[in-house]
Parts: sequence; C-alpha cells; structure tokens
Amino acid sequence: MNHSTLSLKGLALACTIFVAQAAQAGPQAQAVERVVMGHAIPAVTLFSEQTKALDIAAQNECTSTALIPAYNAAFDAWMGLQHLNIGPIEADARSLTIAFWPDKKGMIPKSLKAQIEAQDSAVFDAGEFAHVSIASRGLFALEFMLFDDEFTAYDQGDYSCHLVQAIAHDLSQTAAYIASEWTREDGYGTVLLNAGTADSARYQSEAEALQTLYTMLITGLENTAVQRIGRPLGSFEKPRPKRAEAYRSGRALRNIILSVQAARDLAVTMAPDTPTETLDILDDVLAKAHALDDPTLASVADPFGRLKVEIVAQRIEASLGAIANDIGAPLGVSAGFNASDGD
Amino acid sequence: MTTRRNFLIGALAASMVPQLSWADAGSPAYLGAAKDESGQFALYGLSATSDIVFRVDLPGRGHAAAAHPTRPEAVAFARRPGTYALVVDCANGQVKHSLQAPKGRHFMGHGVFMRGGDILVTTENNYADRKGCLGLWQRSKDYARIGEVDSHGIGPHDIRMLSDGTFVIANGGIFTHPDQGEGRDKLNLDTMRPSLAYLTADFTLSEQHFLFDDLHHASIRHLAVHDDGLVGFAMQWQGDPFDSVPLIGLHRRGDAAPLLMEAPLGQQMSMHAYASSIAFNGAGTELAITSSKGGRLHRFALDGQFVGAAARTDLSGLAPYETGYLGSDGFGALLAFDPDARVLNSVAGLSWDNHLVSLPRLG
Repeated sequence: MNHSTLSLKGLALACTIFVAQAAQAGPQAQAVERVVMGHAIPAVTLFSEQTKALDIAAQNECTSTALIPAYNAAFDAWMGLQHLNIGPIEADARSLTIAFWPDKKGMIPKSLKAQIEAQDSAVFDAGEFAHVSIASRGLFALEFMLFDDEFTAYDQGDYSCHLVQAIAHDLSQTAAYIASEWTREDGYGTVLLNAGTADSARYQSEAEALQTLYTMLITGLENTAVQRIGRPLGSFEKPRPKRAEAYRSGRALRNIILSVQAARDLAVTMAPDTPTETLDILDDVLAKAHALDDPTLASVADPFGRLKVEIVAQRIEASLGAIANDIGAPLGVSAGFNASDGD
Repeated sequence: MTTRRNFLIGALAASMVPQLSWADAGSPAYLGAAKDESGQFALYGLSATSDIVFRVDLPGRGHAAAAHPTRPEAVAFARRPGTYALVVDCANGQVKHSLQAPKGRHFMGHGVFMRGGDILVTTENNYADRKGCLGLWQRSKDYARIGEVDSHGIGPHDIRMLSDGTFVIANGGIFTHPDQGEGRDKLNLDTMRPSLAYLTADFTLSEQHFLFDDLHHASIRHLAVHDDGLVGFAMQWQGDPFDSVPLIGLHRRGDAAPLLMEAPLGQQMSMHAYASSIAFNGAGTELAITSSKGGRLHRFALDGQFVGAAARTDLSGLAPYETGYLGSDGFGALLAFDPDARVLNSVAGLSWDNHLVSLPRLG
C-alpha cells in the first residue's frame, strides 16, 4: 500500500456520500459530517503535509538549527489533531507513537542514548525503524535531538543526523498513513459518515458516531486541564515545572493554547448553532493563556504565577458544562458514562 | 421500596405458582444494569443474541448482579457504598426482597450464590472494624442474614465460585468509609495491600496471594473463572494513570505466584492504568480486559502473550459470547468482539453500567 499519496479520490467519495445522504440527514448526521469534512480531514491533511515537509527538510539538512522551524510547524499541526484519538490515531497507540508524553521514567533519553551508542542500523531502514521503541520515535524523541544539550551537538553525516532523519521520516509515514486511513474509500471518515447505514459495522447509528466525536471534544479539554496544566502544577508545596509538556522546545504554553484552539474549532464545527456560552469561556481561556506569556510554564513554581495557570485550568473545566448545554443537549449526546465514573 | 404489604403479596404469589425457571424470564444469557434516557436505572436481561428480554426498574445506580443458578431471580447490588440489595423476580419484574446491610457494613457491588442457590454470599466493607467481610443470606428463609465471615483483606470487591465450590475473592485493598467523600475517598493508599484469596466452601482461608511491593497500588477488583479452575483478575492502578503497569493477571490454585500480563508500551499506556471488566472468551482459549477510561479491549493468550486490542469509546462491561466476547458501552451498544468489533444491539439513550453478568447456560 502506498501511504504517501493522500487519497483525494477518497475525499471526493466522502463528499459524494454526504450529498447522497444530505436529503434525509438529521441533525446528528449533519454534525458528524461537519466534523469529518470541516475539522478532522483538514487536520489530518495538514499534519501529513507538515510532517512531510519536516521529513524533506531533515533529509536536506539535519542539524538542530536548520530543522527547528519545520519541527514547530509539524508539532503545531499535531496539536490540531491530537484530541481526535479515535480510528487510525487510536489504533496501535499511534497517538503515543507520535507524541510519547508524559515520559515519566525518562525513557526517551535512555532509548536515544542506547541507539546512538549502539549505532543501531534501524535508522537506515524505515521498515525496521517502525518497530523500535516508541520512546525513540515521534515528536518528543525529536525534541530531545533538536533541543536538549546532551543530544544537539551533531553534524551532517553523524549517526545522530541519520537518527533525526529516521525519526522525521517515520513520523511523516505515520502521518501519511493516518491521513490515508481517514480519507480512503472505506476509511475511517467514510465509516463515520456512513454511521447507521447497512454498510457500517462500527457505528450502528449516527448518534454513536457523534457520541464518539463529542467524547473527543470533552476528553481533549480535560486532558489539557488535567495533564498539560495539572502535571506541571503539581502541588502548592511541590510544583513540577519540568513535567510540563514540551518545555524543552519552549512549547508548553503554546501546546495548551493550540489544544484549546483545536477544541474551540471542533466545538464550533459540531454545534448546530453558535455555541455562545462555550465560545465566551474558551475565548476567555485563550486570552488568559496568552497573557501568561510563559512559554515553558516555569511560573508554576511561583505562588502568584501558579495561581494564574490554575485559573486557566479551572476555566477549561468550566467550559465543559457550557459545551454540554450548547452542544451536547441539543444534539442529544453526553460524555462517557463509565469512563468518568467506573468502579 | 418493598412494603410489608407487597412483600406478603409476593410471598403468597410465590407459594401458589409452580416453581419458575429462567425460561419464564425469557431465558436471558446475560444481565446488565443501565440508565435510560429519562435517567431511570434498571436491570435488564439479555438473550444469547443480546436482545433485551426483560427490564426491572431499580431505585438507583447499580453495580453488578448475582444470578440465581436455577430460579429467575437476580440480586442487584447498589453501587458502593450502598447499603441495600434487591432481589428481583425476573419473570414478573417484581422486587421480592430488599436486603439491608447490617449496621457498620455496606455492600461492595458483587455477590454469588452457593449451595444450589440457597445461600447468597455478598462482599461487604465492615467499616466499623476496618476489615472486609462476606455476608451470608439464606434464600429459603426469605433472605435472612444468617452470618458473616472474614474476606481476609480490606475492600473485597468481586467474588466467584470455582467448580469445586472453592471461593476466590478479589480483596481490592482500599479502605473507604461512608462518612468520608460519600464513601468513595480512598483512605489507606500508602498501606493498601490487595490480595487474591481462596476460601474453602466452609470459608476457611486456603490460599492467598499478594502482589510484589512495587505493585501494592494495583487494586485487584474483578474476576473471571475458567471451567478448568484458572482465575483471571483485573486491576485498577491507584497511581498515575500514565504509569505503565500490569492490569491483568492469571492464577491457578496451587501456583506459587500469579502471571501478570502487559501489552506493548504504547498500548499499555492507552489503558490509563485502569481495567473495568474481565472475561474469558467463549471458546475459553484467551481472556481480555476492558478499560472504560482508555476506551479499549486488550486480549491475552493463556500463556500471558498479548494477542491484540480493539477500540471502543466508553467500553466497560465484558462477558463470554459465542467463541469471543460480548462488550457493553455507556452509549447503549452491545458489541461482539470475535476478534473484530461488531455492534449487535444499540439502544439510543441507554447507558450500560460497569458490568455484564453472564448466566450459567441453562437447559
């Protein structure tokens, strides 16, 4: 299978399916269609394009300084997609293969060091590299190679240079595969658009498909509040700034902002009408996050600084109620029953 | 709520009709609790093909149920820290008895019948004495409480009976008190010590297994029992949800230690350190756990090898189905995994609760 070409045929087909169904599509089917066509497919496409650009840049010139702009563009594109942890992104834990975080045991530097020391030949074979530890793959392995002093001192032609090229290429292959799975003829996009029809074994109703997408909206925001903000916050006595996501590349705050922007876009796209209250809160979250002006979230170590960061998380939590009112209730969907409250 | 009056009517009716069997309740193969669109909780019976064959309203959110081995009778347990359990006549939808946990105890959500269905054994938190216990109730005495025994660990959750009458108990290890955090605050995480305990049919401790110290936060919660005596257990990690720790184990009585199983790193992390339910497949050749928090099913061979994963948002309940598994989610779907997921039945507005209980195959 050729994963590198984005299937526009599939995309066109998805459009055809939509047109065929539009006449009788109810509000839930329409919401699914808006999300697939207006949110998900543009996001997977952009991520595939930006990682392809990163791959090409890396094969050209692999040094840290040369690659950082393309790296940031690829990471930005991932932030527009990471909340959609379903279908091909969920399968085989691709989400963690792309973004291995949190790395609680410091596996990434250990794994990279081991590879460099052993001069592991997997870097010269894309097929082999696709089977190395996920700690050595994806955006966070690249972050170490491009930003951490222990790894950045390499030149064109060094083993580390080949390692960076292998990670970039592997990432773009994964992204291309995800895009192709979303857009191909019988792909995940079609599965969602066909929910409730005889062709769909996965989703027996439009409600199920929409429910899945709605859950991604809610868990995406919860992840940002609990993980991206909660981890570095730690406790008042013991703040943990070094637990912030992507602080090495100075992207900790940027990732929070981009994840909220992605959720905002998903909310607006899914909502049957302008979700006024949701937008009020999420825009307030974004304004407060921008105002932190603290790329690495180092300010969590300061009592006043952490208060401001905490407020951002609290406002994100507050948006969940607004989303339930603005979007969940009119569309007849709610967050997971067991996921939030097991036993 | 059962009043004395309708209790008497029920008792009278029971004495007049011939003995009913599960066939009179539509021959369900599974029981599951769910919340419907209006917010009403109920216990449902499901056929072997997962169609709903009966429904009995419950006063609140349930956890699991114990099915009588022959009579169409199920005991629905309130969710922790509930103090009531309802004996439901699945043939006519009536609540026949309401069991009240004695002072200082509450139900833990699971139970099992023994002695041909005459004795019901319930897992309970004896919070007054800070220990786990098993309550004994006699069906032929209108479910009178006839005694209680030690569960040999704090926080007994699931309990199963092996084919030779031995009990296996998942002592979750977590102490809770109904006065603290609505009975769900975990009060002993630093010292918790979960265990798998085997008790003889007369409730003597015959064997007990503790996990290694670095896994003492792995709360053993749910059990599955193979016909040949192999016991599967599912755990819920009381640490960071991103810790990569084993969530499923296998043990056979007499073995020195349980076999703990893990999926490859990325898949393992995707479970969010939480297993909701566990079951052997219908063929008895493998077993699986679900994680509602990770929206996943992880399958393992009986030698401990990871076999594969399936994704389904909010997947929780799990039971054997044909040669594979039956799963339930919080969005009304009942799915077959064999191994690919296939929706068998989907009821909009219905949220299936934590577990599916499979009934013994009846003639």
